Amino acid sequence: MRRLNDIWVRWQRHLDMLPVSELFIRAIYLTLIWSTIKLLLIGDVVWGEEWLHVRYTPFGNIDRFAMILNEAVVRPHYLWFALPFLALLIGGVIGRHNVFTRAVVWYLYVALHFGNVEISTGGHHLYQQLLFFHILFFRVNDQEDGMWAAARRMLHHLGFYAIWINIALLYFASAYWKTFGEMWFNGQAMLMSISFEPYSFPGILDLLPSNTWYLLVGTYAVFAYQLLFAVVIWIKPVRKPFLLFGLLFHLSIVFIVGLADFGLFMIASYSIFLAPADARKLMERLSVVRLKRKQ
Amino acid sequence: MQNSRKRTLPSWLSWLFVVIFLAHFSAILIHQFGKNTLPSLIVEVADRYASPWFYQNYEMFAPEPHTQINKFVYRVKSHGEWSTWKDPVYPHLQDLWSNRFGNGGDMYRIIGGIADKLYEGQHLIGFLEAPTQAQWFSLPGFLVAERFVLGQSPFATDPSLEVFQVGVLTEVHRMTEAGELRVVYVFQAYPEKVVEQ
Repeated sequence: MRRLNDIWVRWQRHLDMLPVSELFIRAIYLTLIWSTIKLLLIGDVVWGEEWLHVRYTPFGNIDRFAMILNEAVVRPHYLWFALPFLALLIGGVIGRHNVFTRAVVWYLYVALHFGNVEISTGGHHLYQQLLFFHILFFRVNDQEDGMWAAARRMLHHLGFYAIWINIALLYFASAYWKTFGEMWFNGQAMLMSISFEPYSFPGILDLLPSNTWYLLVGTYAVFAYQLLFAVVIWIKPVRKPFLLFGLLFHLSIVFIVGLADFGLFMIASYSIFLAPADARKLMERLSVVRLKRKQ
Repeated sequence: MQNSRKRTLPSWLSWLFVVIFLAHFSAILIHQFGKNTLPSLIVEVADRYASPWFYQNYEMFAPEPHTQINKFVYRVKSHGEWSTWKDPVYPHLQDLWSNRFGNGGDMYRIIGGIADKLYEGQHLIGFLEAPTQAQWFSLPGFLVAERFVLGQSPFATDPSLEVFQVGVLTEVHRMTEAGELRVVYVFQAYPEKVVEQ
């Protein structure tokens, strides 16, 4: 019991993962900047008055604020949501963020995400959770002591691992629901997925009229990756090669399937799994680039 | 980066944080997986907690990848003549193929959403014995399709527009026993609607 308590106390004092959380914030904010800019170019349709989707407002009380961009009276003012969101993201990328800005980023993301559910993917749902937990990413340096510093460290660490768990949950849920189907077991799922032109390229059916060995292997590999992720991600020696497969998988979703938001959101969220030393090196390189540009 | 003398939270407070953390994820797990296994009251409480702020749907390409997609099409009658059926989503699809990082995919999914709602509408209307025009024209999918045709299509500003009609073209894919992929198209049209001048 005493040993357990020692581990628990050491874990709370731990500060190694701080560069990882800083890098994570930059990575997900960068993908959100790209996504927000491309959506702003069609903003009147996505969030504004030229909407082309069935608006959805099933909630009352405080929950209405999550769906606020579904209200016809609010939609003409969508820039009041999108532009501050963009400004806070840009600030975050250059290191200007605090608990208040992170909380506002989360809320604005929820409002914009639910403002048009047609463009939502699993990656958007995941980001909604990750942005909630990133509110807890308090910065505590090595010099700080006292109760307030201890509380911020504790909340940071809980937020950090909540993000690990939520990403693992995404893969496990996705694999779990696949076990109720047939095509993920008989190896036809990948062919069926890319057989539709909107999820691949024109003329794909002429090239792939039946299943091939590499699509069969791909189907099983993806299924196994999703099924095993929640366990393997905690095993340090295999984490890197395992995530490398995930990186290739999500790049194929970007370039072959054409779901760039989902693919890039997943790749950016992998930054939370980087080793602290690697994250520190990357952050140092990024700040060197910034300093050189300033000179 | 370690300092063994640094203060930590009182034990009760640190465990309180952990309990809140565990309670959150328990509710999310029940919300995700509890539907067919746990008492409905527990699932309802978890759903109420999760939606909308922590709502998450990860049924991606599950339990099966999609085996059909719907396409929204429309035509208009102007100067007494019908146009051909128009496919408003195709230019956006071309955008998506030429640039994976643009908003072609988003426009495709938004307009594709109209097609899905039109498809659902055809099912809903199938349950009525003799659906009236008013019932057809009040379906959510039709209302959005009408918004598109009269508000954003190339014919939206045509003063001689008399009648329009929308439809949904469904592309269904099936694997044969020999392992070949077969494609079938099903077209369902909505009644024509006269444009009020």
